[in-house]
Order: sequence, then C-alpha cells, then structure tokens
Amino acid sequence: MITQADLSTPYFPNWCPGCGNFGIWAAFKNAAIASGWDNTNTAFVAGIGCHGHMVNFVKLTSFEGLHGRAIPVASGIKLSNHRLNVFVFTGDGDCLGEGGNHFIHACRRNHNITVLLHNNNIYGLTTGQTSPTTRKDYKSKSTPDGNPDEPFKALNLAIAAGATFAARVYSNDIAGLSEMIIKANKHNGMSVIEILQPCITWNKECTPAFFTDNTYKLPDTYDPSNIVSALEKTLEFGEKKIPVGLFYKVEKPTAESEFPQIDEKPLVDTPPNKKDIQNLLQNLY
Amino acid sequence: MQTVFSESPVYSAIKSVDFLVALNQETVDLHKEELTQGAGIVFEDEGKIDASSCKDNCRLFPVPLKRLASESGGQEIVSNNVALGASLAAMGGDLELLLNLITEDLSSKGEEIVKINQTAAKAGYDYVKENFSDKFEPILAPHETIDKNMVVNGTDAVAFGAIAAGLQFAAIYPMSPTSNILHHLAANQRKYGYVFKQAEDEISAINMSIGASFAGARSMTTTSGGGFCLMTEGYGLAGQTEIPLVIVEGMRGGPGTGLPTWSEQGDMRMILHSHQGEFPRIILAAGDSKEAFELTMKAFNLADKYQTPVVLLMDKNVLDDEQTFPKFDYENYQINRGKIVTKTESQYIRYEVTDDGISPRSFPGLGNHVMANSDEHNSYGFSSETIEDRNEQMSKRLRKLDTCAKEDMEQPVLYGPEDADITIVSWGSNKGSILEALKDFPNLNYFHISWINPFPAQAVFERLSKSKYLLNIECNSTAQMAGIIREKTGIDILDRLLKNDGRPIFPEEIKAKINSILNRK
Amino acid sequence: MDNSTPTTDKEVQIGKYKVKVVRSLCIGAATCVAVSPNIFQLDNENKAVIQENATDAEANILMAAQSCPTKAIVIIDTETGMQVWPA
Repeated sequence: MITQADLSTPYFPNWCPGCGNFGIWAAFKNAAIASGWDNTNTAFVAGIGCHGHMVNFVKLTSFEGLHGRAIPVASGIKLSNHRLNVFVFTGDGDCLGEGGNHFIHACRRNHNITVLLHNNNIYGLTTGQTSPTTRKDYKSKSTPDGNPDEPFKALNLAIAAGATFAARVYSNDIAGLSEMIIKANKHNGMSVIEILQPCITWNKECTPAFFTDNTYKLPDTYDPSNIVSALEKTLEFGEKKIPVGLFYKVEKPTAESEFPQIDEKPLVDTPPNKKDIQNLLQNLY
Repeated sequence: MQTVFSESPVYSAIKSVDFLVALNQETVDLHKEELTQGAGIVFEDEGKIDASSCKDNCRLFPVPLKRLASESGGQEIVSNNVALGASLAAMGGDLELLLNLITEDLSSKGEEIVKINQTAAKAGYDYVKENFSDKFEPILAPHETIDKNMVVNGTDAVAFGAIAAGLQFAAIYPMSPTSNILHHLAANQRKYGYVFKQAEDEISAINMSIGASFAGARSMTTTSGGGFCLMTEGYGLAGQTEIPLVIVEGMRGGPGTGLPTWSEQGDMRMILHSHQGEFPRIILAAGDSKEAFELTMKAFNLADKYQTPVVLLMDKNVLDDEQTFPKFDYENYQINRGKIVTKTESQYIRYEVTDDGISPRSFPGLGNHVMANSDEHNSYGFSSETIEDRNEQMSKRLRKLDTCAKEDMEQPVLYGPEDADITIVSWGSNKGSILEALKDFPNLNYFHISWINPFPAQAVFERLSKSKYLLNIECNSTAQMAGIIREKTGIDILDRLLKNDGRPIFPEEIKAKINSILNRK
Repeated sequence: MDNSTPTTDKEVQIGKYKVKVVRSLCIGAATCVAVSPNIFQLDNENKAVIQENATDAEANILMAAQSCPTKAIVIIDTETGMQVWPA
C-alpha cells in the first residue's frame, strides 16, 4: 500500500507556479498509489530539462541522467531487471533534439518502457529557445525572425519508428493522465505518452486555455489497432484539431523478449559468478 | 600478414623476412627490402609476378599456384593452400601435419572442400619437392614433444576474460580494432547467460551499460578512440553517479578517422583528462594478450569496488596480434562486488560520506530508495548546490583514488637485471618488441608501466632516479607517457624513440637505437 | 460532488483557514490539485473547486495557494482574521 506520504521527498517542486509539470507530477503519483509502484518494483529515469527535476520530488528509485540520454539508461535498466516497471521522464528537447536517435531506435526495438514526453513546445530550462516541436514561424530567443523549421509530430515519428503504444494527454487532465500512465505501463512494449503542457514562463501561446480550446478526445469508435489511421491521426495538429487519447496500441515482441537467457528470470536475479571458459580457451589451440 | 615462429619464445613481430609468399606483385615490391640474405620466396609462376629483382640474394620458388589450384578441383582461393604446401616443402616440413590442420580447420565446410584443399596443398608440396630440392632449408622439422599453447589475440583475451569475470551486460557499437570483442560476446551470450546488445551509437552503448550497472549488473562497453570521444559525457556520468563500468578502449591511428586498421598509442591523455570537471578514473594498459585477460578480470573487480569507471587501454597490436601463451589461468580469480547493501533501510543514504570514499551500494528493486544523480547532490542523492554538499561529495569521490593507490594499485614490472646500462621505459605492445630486442642486450632492463591512474609515482621515481640512462619508447608523436612521468615524478626522460606511422615499433629499430646510444658512450 | 456553476465564490473552513477559489481568476493550471489533491479538484469547467469535508495539513494548503500562477486561492486565518495569502 503506497500513500502520498511514501512518495514525498523533503523538497517542494521548484517549477514555476502553473507549470504543467505539477499536473504530470500529481498524475504519476496517483498512478503509483493506485498501482502499488514502490521501491521494490519500480524505477524511473529522467533527462535534463524542467522535467528532469522529477527525481527530487518523487521518492521512487530514480536516475537523473544526461540531456537526451534517459532512454538508453532506461533500456539498460529494463534489460537487466525486467521485473521493474521502468518509466522515462523526458522533454521535447531532451527526447526529440539531443536524444532523437535513441528515441527512434528504442521505438524500433520496442523496449518495454513507458516514456512520458513532457511537450511544452519550447526549451524551458534554458530559458526559451525553439524546440523540435515548436511551430513554424514562432518567434523565440533563438528564432527571433521566426522558426524556419517544421516541427516534429512526435507520436507519428514514434509509430513510424516502431513504438507499439502511442497516446496524447493534456498535463492538467490529471485523472486522464493517471489512467493513461497506468495503461501504458501495463502495455508490453514501447509506450509513448506525449503530454501537452503549458510553460507559463516561456511559451505564451500554448497556455492552458489554448489546450482546453483546441484539444478534442478521440471518439469511442476510433480503432487504435490500425496503424494507417494512427499515422494519419497523429499528423493532425492545428486549431481545434489536436486529438487526445490513445492513438495506437498493438502487441509485438518486446526487445527484452528476444533474449532467451532472461526468459526464466531477470538478469540480475542471478549474482555474477566466475564462469568456466575452458571450452572457449580450447578453441584457441 | 606476418608469422614469426621459433623454438624460443617470440615476443613480437620483426621487420626482416626470411620467407615470403607473394600472391601479387605488390607483395614483392613492398617487402623486398626486408628480405634477409638467402630468404625464400614462393610466388605465382605463370606470368604474373616478377621477382627477378630478388634473385641474387634469395631462393626463388616460382610455382604455378592457380593452375595447381584449379587442377585440384578448387577455385582460385585454394591457391592459398598450394602456396602453403609449397612453403612447407621448402622449409622441410611434414605434409601430414598440414593435411591434418586442413581437416581441423575446414571440416565445417564439408568433406569435399577438405579434400580439394588437401589435394591443393599436396600439389604445391610435391611441385616444390620435385623441382627445387636443392634450395631447401629444413627449419620446420617436427619435434618429438611440444608444449600445447594457445594462439590468442587481445580481443579473445578481453572477451573471454570478461565472461570468466562474470560479465552480465555489454552494450557495444562496432569499431575497429575492437569489433571482434563484440563478435565474441554476441556469439556466447546465450551459453553464458549474459545480455549483449548492439547499440545504435556509442553514446547509447555507454548509457545503456551504465543503466544496466545501476540495476546491479556487471557491465562493460568497448570502443576505439573515436567512439570514446562520443562516450566522454557518459564517462563522467559514471564517475559522478558512482556507477561501476568497465570500458575497453582499443587505440588506433588518429586523429579523426585516422588509420582505422593501424596502431597508435595516442589516447593516454584523452582517457586521463576527458570530460568536464574532475572525477576519479582508474586507467590500466595491457601490453599483450595475457595482460589483457588478467587486467580485464581485474577491471570488473576494481569498477565494483570503487564504483567508478575503469578504462582498459590497449593498442591495436595487442588486440590483433596472435601470440602463443600457455593456457590462461583464472583459478585464483574471485569476484569482488565491493560494498553491497542487502537489507532495506528506513533512510538509505546512497552517497554516504565515508573515510575511503566508497559508499554502500543498494540495487534497485530491493526496497530502498536508490538515487543516481548527474547533478551535484547531497548524500541522499537529491540535487544540491550548497557549498557543504559540493565540497563533501567532490572530495569523497576523489578520495577513492587515494584508497585505490593504497589498496590496489600495482607497481610497474622490471624485466632484466636490477643494474643496467640503459633502462627502457614504455607501455602497451612495445613490451614485446622491447623484450625481443633485449635478447641481444642482457645488460639492459625494461620498466613496463601498466597502471596509468592512479599512477605509481613513487615506484617510478625510485626506479628512474637510480637508472644510469633512460630511454622512452612510445608509438605516438608527443611522448604522452613521458609527459605523465614528468608531471608525476619531476623526471624528464630526454631520449625518446617515437614512432607514429601506424606500424609497430620493431625490435630492429630498438636495437639500432640502443646501439647508437652505446656507441656514443 | 456538485459541479454546477456557483454564482459566488464558495468559502470553505478547513482547520483554522477559510479557503476560497476566485473563479474569475482561475485558469485551470491545476497546480493546487497537484499539491493538495484532497482539497482541490477541477470541475467540468476546468476550474478549481474545494472539496467538502476534506482535510490537509495547513502548510500544504498554503503551498497549494502559493503555487497558483494567478493567485486565485485566497486564505484567511480565522483565528487572527488576517488574510494569509495572497499576502
């Protein structure tokens, strides 16, 4: 039984008041309480960005790594102990800029991890530069003449690269986000949740009102097992046309399942022991 | 490709050639200056190769290699075995032994292939026996008994050493000259129960390996200099988060893409200094396959004990050169995981400040709240920027090196007499060439350094202070080892034999240098 | 939970605090929900509402108010009669 107190650290978040990270923080903790995620069965990895500070505010085993490199660390953890629920907290810059290569390969391999992609369409921590998801023509400190580049459609990229679970939720829909995180963790495979969030300080366009006005829930009739409609739907992003919900979910072998040597139990359940390599040495004669 | 064999130990490649097998003209042109007086040359007879420039000093064995290959029923590639048979005859060897080796080596390809190659070998053998019996030199006469030795290179040694040491996880991106380590590890993972993952790039490789180690697995990655450049951020991450990691770096010619398939000893400075800021790094260097095997196993224990990255440096020659050694002995090796927490604690302190700098390590999943933080942190692991936490954690981490210097660092090895006219100082694969050269100079000694960090400054200072004459040998352009020695001991080795053309330093070159010093005196 | 739109901002007594959400200022940032989910939830108009009969540590309620980007949460200490937040 996990309580809010179990998950509390001595530190109150230093995010700006109104930051979407508060919603993500609340949703994740609620999901942990509902699911019983604790220090015997869970670990998370954070990158560098405002999201990265999560390690200081949730008392679960965690690793704050390098900018862009949370996903490989998480992959290594999961391969070594696949009993753990493994989460990645990453941002639009962390995941799609610095960490782009790792993102697409993790999707390709279908590592059984859950990626919480904090997408505030800007670089927050470094004070306001354009990010890989900032809209074209946006004026920021780094693109004062207007962003010359088209943004990524993160979920479209994830699905095309091979992810088997792709969803989008708004950060302040705490209940909905909690539910999605639980669903994503239950899914066996690479789960990507793009979490749209406001950045009160640096992104004056993507406000809470912007998200509540322009997002709409995918209808109950939407079939998330169809990759073609998922790819189409994840290209949709405009005025009154930002779908939220579960876009794609299919079952495929995970990266971890390709290693028969860890079928029976997690790798680290057996402590390292000195191996008999006589056969290997014999081949050298 | 060169093979050096002898009845006495052979330590390195040599420059001179006593027998040349030329399958193309380029071989003759490239190596004719290296041929010794009376050297033998087997070469394609029918039109292609002109070895006439060598006819005065050498015994020529023109053999219709391709014709005999095709007459044996094989493709052109079978000329290899025709040439082997021919060479064997010229050196007075026993054909039976070659035929047995062909069976051993090629039986996996089927009986027909074995037969074709044996026929080809015999054809070459018979041809030379019939036509050139006056030119034989019987140096390959069989022995009554021989010691059975392994023929092993550095990549075998590293891979098998890692497996023996209880390797559990490796993530590697291929790069010459270390790719063969990857191949070995990939092929044996199911049998030995560890996980090998080919990563998408070197940055992923090191970060995956760190994640695995955080989870409690004995973990390693391998690369060459250029790949290590990409790993520098991860290198410091392991140091800052205090996560054990073994990194094997196989040096090749740099900078940039450099000389991918040639050697250099150019990365010592990079491994000593790369990454921003300061963190404890343990650095070892192997001089041959046996050292590679032993140091690999040792590296895992050091990494676990000190919870920090351990780099094992090897130059391409160590990795690729096949050398005979008695079977590697690892009976006395014991796995040491260092300070491991086995109980849950109400408030586990991951980065507890201790006298030796090493904090007790708990694995995820046990029940403790375990943190790894690349930010500067307090002893629990939460991010911190306070003066107190910064000073405490920084000095705790660096203290580990002092502990290592006291408890585990090894002294350099002296080969040769205690008193010598010249003391050669060097590292890496130069060891073999130096030992080969010293066969002619029993009054000289060789000081072989394999611990780079922490550095055995006291031992080096004492040895170098009492030496009559110092000679530094390195395969780089700026004498990196000599620089480190000066920095750590104050002793500047002025006479430096530096070679950086990608080739190994040959015993002949060392002997010439030694003679020039001795003749000067 | 009654989620219909109220005509005035509701004041709720929690311990020694009288707590109120000024709906006209609330932008649905949900920071208060994150900090003190027992007390604050979002209604179907995406505005924060205070839960009936809920409790939380005073310090936490104050932090929730302080984390609001628009200072929409007003706290009065009924023992002193002073407005604690916004200061």
